[in-house]
Amino acid sequence: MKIYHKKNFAVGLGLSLLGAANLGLMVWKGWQVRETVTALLCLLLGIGSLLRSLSRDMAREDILEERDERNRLVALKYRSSALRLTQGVSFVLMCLLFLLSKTSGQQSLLPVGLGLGLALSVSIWGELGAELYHQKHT
Amino acid sequence: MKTRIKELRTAAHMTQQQLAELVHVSSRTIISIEKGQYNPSLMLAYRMALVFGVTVEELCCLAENKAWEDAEFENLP
Repeated sequence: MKIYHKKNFAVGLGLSLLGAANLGLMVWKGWQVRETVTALLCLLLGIGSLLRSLSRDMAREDILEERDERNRLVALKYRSSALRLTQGVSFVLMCLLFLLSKTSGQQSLLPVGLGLGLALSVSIWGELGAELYHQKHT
Repeated sequence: MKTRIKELRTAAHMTQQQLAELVHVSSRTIISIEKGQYNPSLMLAYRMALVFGVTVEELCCLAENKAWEDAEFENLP
């Protein structure tokens, strides 16, 4: 038996173990519908991923999908859009929280707004750093 | 970008999946290129040109696309 796609194998193994551990925990603690569905889903996805990584044809298919130039461009685009959206939403929420904290006098909103502001500044600095790096190396 | 891929593929009685397998990309990539939604990389264009036995210039209608792009640049403010 040969592993043709190591990443998928690792993901499959992790998911299978997680699903099996969850099922084991439920045997011990008692069955719950939501947790059982989640555990079974994890197990099924894990087993599927494991089987794909062990099959030569399926692993080849997965590798080609990963290397596909359009898929890479699409990934770059949706990640960039997600970053823009997150930054925009964080900024609006931060302003709203500061405004609400000021008008309603609820001091508890201030740390939440500050947390969002911190996350926003980290993402902006990260973006600047990444741009400098890629302008130099691309 | 306009290309002649669909025309050449149909003439060669080839499916999108078959072409995709020959040039090592997904069939979605071929569909997007044929629709003009995605511009292939130079290497992919070369691979496809080799499959159809034409030059990259012919496959990707480079002269026509250049003329169209030039007109776009001329319209810039």
